[in-house]
Amino acid sequence: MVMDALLSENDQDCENKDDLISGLPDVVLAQILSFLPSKVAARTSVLARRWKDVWRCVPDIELTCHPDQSASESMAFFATVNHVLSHRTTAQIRKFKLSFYSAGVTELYCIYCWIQHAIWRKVREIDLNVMDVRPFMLPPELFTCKTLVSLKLQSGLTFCVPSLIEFPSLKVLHVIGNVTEEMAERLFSCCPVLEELLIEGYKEDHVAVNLNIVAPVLKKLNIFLESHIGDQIVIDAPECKYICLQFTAKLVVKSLSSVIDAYICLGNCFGRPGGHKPDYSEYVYQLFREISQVQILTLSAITMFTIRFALHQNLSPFPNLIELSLNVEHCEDWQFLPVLLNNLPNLRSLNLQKNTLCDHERDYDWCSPESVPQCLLSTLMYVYFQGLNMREDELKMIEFLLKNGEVLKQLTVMPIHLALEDAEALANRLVMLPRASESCDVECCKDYCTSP
Amino acid sequence: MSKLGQAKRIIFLKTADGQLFEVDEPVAMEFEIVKSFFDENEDAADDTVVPLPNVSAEPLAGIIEFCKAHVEFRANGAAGKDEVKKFNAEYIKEKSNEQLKELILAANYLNIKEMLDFLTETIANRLKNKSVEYVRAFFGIENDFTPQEEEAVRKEYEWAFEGVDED
Repeated sequence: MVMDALLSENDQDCENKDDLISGLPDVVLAQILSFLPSKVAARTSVLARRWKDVWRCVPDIELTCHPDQSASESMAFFATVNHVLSHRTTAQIRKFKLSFYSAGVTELYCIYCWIQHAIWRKVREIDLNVMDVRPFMLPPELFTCKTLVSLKLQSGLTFCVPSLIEFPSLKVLHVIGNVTEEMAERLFSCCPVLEELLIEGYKEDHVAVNLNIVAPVLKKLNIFLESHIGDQIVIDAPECKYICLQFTAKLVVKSLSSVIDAYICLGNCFGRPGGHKPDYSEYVYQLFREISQVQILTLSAITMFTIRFALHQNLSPFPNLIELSLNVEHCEDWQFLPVLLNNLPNLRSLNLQKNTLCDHERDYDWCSPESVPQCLLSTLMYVYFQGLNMREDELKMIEFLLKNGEVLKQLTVMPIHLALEDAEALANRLVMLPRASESCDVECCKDYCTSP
Repeated sequence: MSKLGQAKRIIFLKTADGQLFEVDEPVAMEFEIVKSFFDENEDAADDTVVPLPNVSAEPLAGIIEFCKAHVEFRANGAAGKDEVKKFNAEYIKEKSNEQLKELILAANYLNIKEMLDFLTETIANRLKNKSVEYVRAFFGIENDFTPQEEEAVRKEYEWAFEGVDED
């Protein structure tokens, strides 16, 4: 928006201006072009003589082949990459980003050579996005590349990894796609200075992977892995501050004691009574113990479901937790809330969210804790409940929070799929509930209600 | 940074057009060229005037404004947040093309990485999806190719002109 406004302002008076940009030194012009895809950068060659060769000294290469391009266009794309690589005048390649959708054997060989070329040119960032499904061997020297700071592999390809892996400078590693056994075992424990790790993928059904993460200075960890209880994930990341974990594999936490912000979606739907043995909760409890210093915590519906079967276990307190978000699908899953509240002495903000699309829910008796949790007496200021309906059990829960929340400032509920008149009735009922905190605002947000 | 109990240190900078600027030390140290001046002259007196023969007063004032804001953002832990983006957008909105060019030249000479990154990206965004003619007109670039030469360059980089989506 800002850019557009600026363009229109300057459009009229640009004709008689002196050349604004050509007087800049090559290195600055190259930096400008480095923010553009290589194709766009190359087009500046026809602006004027001054510009003919500037694009060739840009240290960043970014090339994309769109999915709707024909086979011949795709061929042209490979010719283009070769052209760009062979026309460069700088010694270093800083960033090499390549996106395309399908590749034959010849093309895969090209990619292999390009990556080798980038390694020779002391590449710092590689970002490879290939939507094709076949095994592919990356050049072995990639895995010992000393200059590489960022490696992003997003692909349907099955990458084969060598036995020797050593990334002395790698700070950012993203793997999106097929996570093979060898990769899981070796790739994520050979990066001594890694700060950011993202694993988002799936694995072959018949193999059990053992995902081994050893990262002494890791700050941010995201794992979304289609997995099952036969797989295992080991995490040793003592400095890690942010985690986002989503899988059903066995979890072994060696260290995660610096976490301050966590999103946890662990477990499976097999824990139902009469179903599979509900033992996954042990892993969740183990994780809870390890991240006890967390400040912001979000538990997904699946996690709430999983731990519902382990309420008998002793939960260790979270002394620093100030913001808690819980998602549930069934009312019964609120059973964990009183247990949690008893262990959160400094909770300030509680966000509750329920998926209201399940119709056939069992009734659930809200069971107030025997004594009022500490956070309700002294710290809990904000409660937000999205998806509250007219269920008596949930209203009892709200009633308990209002009746005992001594320092509550704001309670907001947002009904979903409720008729407007029912929402009015709900709002009236909420306003009538006794409140421990006189200054507490009670608000019913009707944005998602259905009009008659 | 100044030590406890001491007054804030001021750095004196003199521009090509003879103006003297008094700048807080943390802001002046954003300029790599000033920083290395003091690194190399450790025993420089406090009232040393650093000459900046390639920068005139107007862009320097603009640069000081930018760096001062960013030093504060960092001190407040706001680096990378929306506040910063808002400031940057406002900052650049008020600048004419000529001023922008002066700023880039000066930021390049003073070697201020953060500001140079921001300014070059701003320019890059203006080049995106624009026709060759538009870019020439917008920046006032004179085409000094003969028609034959231009045709030859276009042919050489034919692939770059295929499937162009221009605004």
